[in-house]
Amino acid sequence: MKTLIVEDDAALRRGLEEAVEALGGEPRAVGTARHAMDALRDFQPHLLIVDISLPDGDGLEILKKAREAQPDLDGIVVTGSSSIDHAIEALRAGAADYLLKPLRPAQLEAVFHRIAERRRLELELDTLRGELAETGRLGDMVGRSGVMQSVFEVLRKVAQTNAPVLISGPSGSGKEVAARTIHRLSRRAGKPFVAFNCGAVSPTLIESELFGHERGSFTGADRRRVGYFEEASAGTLFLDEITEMSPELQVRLLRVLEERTLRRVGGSQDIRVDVRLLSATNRDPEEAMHEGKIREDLFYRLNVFPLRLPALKERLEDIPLLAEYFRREIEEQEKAGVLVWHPKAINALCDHDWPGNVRELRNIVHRAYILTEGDTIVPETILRLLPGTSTEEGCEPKKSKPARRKTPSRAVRSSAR
Amino acid sequence: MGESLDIRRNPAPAPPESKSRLRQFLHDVAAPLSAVALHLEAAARRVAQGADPTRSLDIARAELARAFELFETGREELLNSAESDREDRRPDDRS
Repeated sequence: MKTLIVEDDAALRRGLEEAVEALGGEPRAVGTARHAMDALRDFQPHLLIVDISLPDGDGLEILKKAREAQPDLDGIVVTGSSSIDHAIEALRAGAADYLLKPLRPAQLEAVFHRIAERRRLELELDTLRGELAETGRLGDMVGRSGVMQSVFEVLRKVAQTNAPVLISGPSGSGKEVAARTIHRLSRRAGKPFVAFNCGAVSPTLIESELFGHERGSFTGADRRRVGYFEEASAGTLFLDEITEMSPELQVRLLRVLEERTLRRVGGSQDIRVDVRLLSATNRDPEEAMHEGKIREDLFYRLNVFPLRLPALKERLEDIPLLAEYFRREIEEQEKAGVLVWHPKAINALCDHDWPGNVRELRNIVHRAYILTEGDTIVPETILRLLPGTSTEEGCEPKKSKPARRKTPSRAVRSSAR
Repeated sequence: MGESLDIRRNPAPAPPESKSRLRQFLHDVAAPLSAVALHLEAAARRVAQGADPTRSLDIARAELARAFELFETGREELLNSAESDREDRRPDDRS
């Protein structure tokens, strides 16, 4: 963050310059109002740290003028007076915060980081908004259909909170991608994102995987291990297939969520955890609760904000965009020069039911890419991978698609994980 | 002793002039004290990075000396003005 420091006291100016540099900023320091105006023009800072009283001017006036020219400039006003009037004046001039002399380095650090983090988030949001407007993308989620636009809208809003989100949707619909996008858009974006599939680990191991264990707590525990909860500290933990967790472990998870502390397996100390929990299931969440797959109290803890992802067949109009997104992604890795789709190849993709959803589509695109000779993915390649599909109709949403249950090809079945 | 007791019994608000003197005193001392804190922090950072903290410590010491000088000057001014304020107020207190 480019930071202009305006302070007439030379030693303090130098101290601020070094402190800002140590905090990861790019400082420039001047000692007068006149030099400040020059530096604002030449240096184009993101942040202005300005002393309220300068020998040749008023720090608040500098801030006001600077913000008139550059409204997204953040300001920190440094004042030697604890008067409330000065604080109000500083905020009126557009200061994000003000610091009282004698300065405390920890206070400067906190304010600087808060501003830097907000700016980073705003930039990230702008980038994502741009992506969404231009390409129908939000992070790694792709879609221009009405149903996906609604998902994006919800996702952007919920990302700004700390609320637990329970993501549901059929297998392959992109639940982990949605969780990553929430994390990326959240205030925790700079912190770890840890994904854990509760259905992929033996029930006896889940407890130590999640909460960690102390050395000697069970046979084979030859050293202490930090669990996923601690690994995700200050960040986000994504628990996939949450309904596959044993009832005993669900009780433990509930306790961690309620008390915000955990105890490692074999440990005697409560460890404080600050983790945002996102969870997912491919079942209907309420049904899973009624069937006893998930405890009612845990369900309500996790389902503060429900997010349902649609099956791909509910958004066929997104297939051309998704197919092109995956082709580009694969081309970036493979660089085989497969550059375009034959329109009828896309038609064939749109005629398939996609029981494996977006994940299945990606696999088919990858296979088509590998099988393609030349720069165009032709309809014959898709027909070979998805036999029985037609190349005649486009991808417009079909008002009443005839109920048709094709047996997926071996290739498709093996991809529908 | 008696004088100070009288003042406590009749706590009159400080006149604007002495308030501004006090504000200036605090302001003068606050700048070098801020510099001391920042340069000590810089010295600690340098030590943590295995670098030489001498320059930061030298600046911190110089600023501390400046703060002390400013403090002494401000203290004398404050004491003198407090004395003259008491002189000015004495007839009113008696009445």
